[in-house]
Amino acid sequence: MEHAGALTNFIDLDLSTAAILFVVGVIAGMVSGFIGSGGAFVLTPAMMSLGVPGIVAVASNMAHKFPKALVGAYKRAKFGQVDLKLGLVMGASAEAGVLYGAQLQQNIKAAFGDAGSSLYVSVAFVIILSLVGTFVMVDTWRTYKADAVDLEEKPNKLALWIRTIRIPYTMVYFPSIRSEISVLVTLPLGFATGMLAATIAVGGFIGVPAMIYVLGVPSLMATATELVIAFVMGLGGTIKFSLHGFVDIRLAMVILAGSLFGLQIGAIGTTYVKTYVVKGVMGMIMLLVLFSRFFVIPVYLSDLELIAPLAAPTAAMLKAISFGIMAFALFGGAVAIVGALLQGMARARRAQPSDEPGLAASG
Amino acid sequence: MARNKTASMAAGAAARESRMRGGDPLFIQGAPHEAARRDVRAFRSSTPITACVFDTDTDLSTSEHAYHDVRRRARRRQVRRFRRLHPKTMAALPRGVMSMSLYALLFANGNRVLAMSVNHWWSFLVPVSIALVFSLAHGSFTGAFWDAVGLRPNTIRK
Repeated sequence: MEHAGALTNFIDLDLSTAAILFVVGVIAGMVSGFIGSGGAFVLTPAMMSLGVPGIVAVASNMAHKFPKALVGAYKRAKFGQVDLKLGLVMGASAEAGVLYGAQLQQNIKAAFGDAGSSLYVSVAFVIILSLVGTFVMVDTWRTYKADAVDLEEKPNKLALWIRTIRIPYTMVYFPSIRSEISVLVTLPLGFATGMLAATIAVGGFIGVPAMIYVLGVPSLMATATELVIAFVMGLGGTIKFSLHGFVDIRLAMVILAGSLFGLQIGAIGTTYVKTYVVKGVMGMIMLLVLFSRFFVIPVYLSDLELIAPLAAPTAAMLKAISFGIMAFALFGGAVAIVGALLQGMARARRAQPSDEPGLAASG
Repeated sequence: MARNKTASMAAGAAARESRMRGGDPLFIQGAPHEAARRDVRAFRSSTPITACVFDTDTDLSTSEHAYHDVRRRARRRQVRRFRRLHPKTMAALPRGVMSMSLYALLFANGNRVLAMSVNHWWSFLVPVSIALVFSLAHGSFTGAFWDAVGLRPNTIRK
């Protein structure tokens, strides 16, 4: 195990860095409570922008994520949004993915150093976010245009077909889809979720769309159930990474402090908005974060001498653009969520008097 | 009637103010509502007075009592409003103190904790247990905090 000199993995945590991380944590928590995917896709790049090596950023995120996911899952279970059985089944296969992904991360760091680790994380971000983000945005637009926003979500053809696959001794009934499916179908989905979680600390980018589009789970329940999966794999990932000295618990606890404040705003926000709003906000943030990581890739390539070395001002400019887009994604996401929450609260207040028979009759 | 009540209140306020200034008593001519219209504003900027007495049938105590009744009702409303917030605020406060104490403890011993979390085979227990304890303590505080602020989930079907 890499214990010798492991403290050199950690940055000096001064007050301004802690304050930035706290604010980022609040926004990430808000996003996490709202779309259910950990919010680490905001935190990992933000921490990397502050100089934290990629693997330490991922490991510390996991350490803050599992207890936060526990709190989030508990809150949303009270709103009746969690399918605990599905969460635990997918969480088990996700754990295997986490262990495999964490080992891969460590091998990359050992072979190529911090720049290699950061490059790997950034490329994974760009590929996954461009695929999933585009898909989510297209689906949101289709739902919105079809004027189906007030109707109950219906499973697509793929989800319906999967329910017809009957494999003896593997069929399990899941309350969220009100149907039986084979647990074998959930294994690759869970594994991919876990592997992505160990790579970029955000398994939800695969887990949530997989539950919605492959299993046919309603989106609000999918985002809530993802929190159970996040808890299971976050705990396993934290143990795995901390055995090798990559968890900076100070960073993890600062972002936990902020994100627990934000988490409840996000979770309560989901009770006021329509499902296409949740999908829309998720897609918008994904695409912005994708561009943020895209601009910094040449810097890592240059550090690894895979391309001609960049001039110092060019590298600084690319880092500044990346940070700017990230900040825009953060505040854009926060504004969208708080705006949706306030609008929903105002709508609920207006709707309340007309629901009371006495007032309706007198009016 | 309403006009008289307003005038009584205004005159009562003037009397109270006069006493507070610690000046001499002054006498107001006419009924309370006339006094309010004509004189009360002028008295406020005049030399300090200790009381104002009406030479009509309405006696000072009536107008003062009306004023004090209004004040008392307002104060009671304030106390009621404070009491409504009180238990939730009180629930959030100790949790906040506990959470802040845990953070202070962690950062006061930052390097020692980091060293413990990387140097032994059991080191993984350090970040895992810290994360669990902090999330329970701080999660409990943030829940109570938002509850005290009044942020609650929607109970109406969308």
